[in-house]
Amino acid sequence: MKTLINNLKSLTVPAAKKTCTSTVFVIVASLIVAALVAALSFAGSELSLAVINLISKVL
Amino acid sequence: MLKALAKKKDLRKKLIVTICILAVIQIISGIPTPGVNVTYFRALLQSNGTLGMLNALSGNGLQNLSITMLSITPYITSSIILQLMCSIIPALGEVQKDGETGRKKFKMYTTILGAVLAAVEAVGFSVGFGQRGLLMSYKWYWVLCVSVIWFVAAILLMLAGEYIEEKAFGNGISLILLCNILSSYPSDFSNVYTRFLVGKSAKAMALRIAFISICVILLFAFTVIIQETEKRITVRYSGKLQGSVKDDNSYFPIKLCPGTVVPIILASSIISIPSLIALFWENSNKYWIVKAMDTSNWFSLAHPSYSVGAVVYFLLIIGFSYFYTQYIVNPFEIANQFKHSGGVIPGITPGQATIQYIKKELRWIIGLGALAMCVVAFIPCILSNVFNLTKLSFAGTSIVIITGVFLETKDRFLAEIQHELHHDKISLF
Repeated sequence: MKTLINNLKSLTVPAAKKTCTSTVFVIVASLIVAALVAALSFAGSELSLAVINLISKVL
Repeated sequence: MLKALAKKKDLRKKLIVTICILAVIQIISGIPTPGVNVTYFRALLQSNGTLGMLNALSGNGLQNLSITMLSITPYITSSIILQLMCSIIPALGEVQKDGETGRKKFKMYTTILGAVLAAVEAVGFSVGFGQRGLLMSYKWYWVLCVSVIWFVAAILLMLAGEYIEEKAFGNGISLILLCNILSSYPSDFSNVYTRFLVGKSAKAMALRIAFISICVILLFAFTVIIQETEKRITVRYSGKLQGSVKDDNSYFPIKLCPGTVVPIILASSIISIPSLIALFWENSNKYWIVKAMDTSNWFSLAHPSYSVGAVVYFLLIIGFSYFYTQYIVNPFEIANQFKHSGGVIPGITPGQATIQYIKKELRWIIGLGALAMCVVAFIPCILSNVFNLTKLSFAGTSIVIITGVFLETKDRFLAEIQHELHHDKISLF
């Protein structure tokens, strides 16, 4: 138990400010990327539908 | 930072290329596969948590049956197989450790095996499920057409990932995986909204939103802490090195989770195998092994035996953490590095004693890191089962991957900029 506590004490944990900024960065970045990804996937599916409609009209 | 980025044209070009490739992949992933019943797997995915995770890794590939349905999962499976084979075939392990050339060769093996697996999976899905309703018309030419589309898309994604890694910016495969997982966010928000917020008063809704947001932020913060925590081994340098006299204390950092997201990806891929195989059998959900490997059945008080799957997952994370770390942190190489640079760990003699000391330190650090990873993986799993939510991509495994990839990419970006500005101190914020 004593060894475990000593081992835990020897670890360098990131400073509170760094943890906060990194957490905010990860959350904000993931929200932005998620929105972009959703928009692009939607654009892809709409684009494919438009192409299919165009092909069916031509044929 | 923006000034530094403006200065560095090469980095800017790399960033633009990476963003463009990822954007094209996302557009392609929205295109449905022709001749396929796109709703075929939807009901199954709603009830099976493990398959839900697999679906998130493939960017909703199973749910939408888009042309990139396999995504980079064949590449991930291929890396797992080759990593495991390294312990059986020592010569293969040596290839991986043989510097840059060895790493390139190992990557080539991974791509070749990934291509073989993509072909097997594409044909397996179209033949195995084709006559059970996946294909609109079960004719040989439709089977061939669908298989070729899935296979080619998987190969293109693998090559795109490697291109990003080699010529553009960041770890390509990880970035594609990140986008895949994040593509599940909208459906997750919808799940949370339906489960917790529909029909509630404005006050109750505000309270619940605040509670859920705090839980998610704390989970992200805890993941950031465990990924940024490190053990600093003090190293004393003394002697004449490259024309300058060094005589100071420095430290060698060992991350709490040196393997970052890899052990958890390996473990979740292994755990999803029974559910994936079971897809090919009618009424396969009745088998105990399938239920035990389904995350949505874990920690159920009504069926405690299914929690064996959670124990297996726990052991796999611990096992892969030790297994993978031996390839990225080599005590022998670190001790040699100290020797060549005139570094000594205070109180430890150079050579064998240093190797043993690093090994001993690594053993408990990896164990602790793996336990912390398990906490992140299991807490959301327990909560989602308590609140009856089967599929949340910002929970557990995904949160570790999302945080790991973002922090890794940020560090790479800062390192590139820092290199340009000749060690000027830069912060992203």
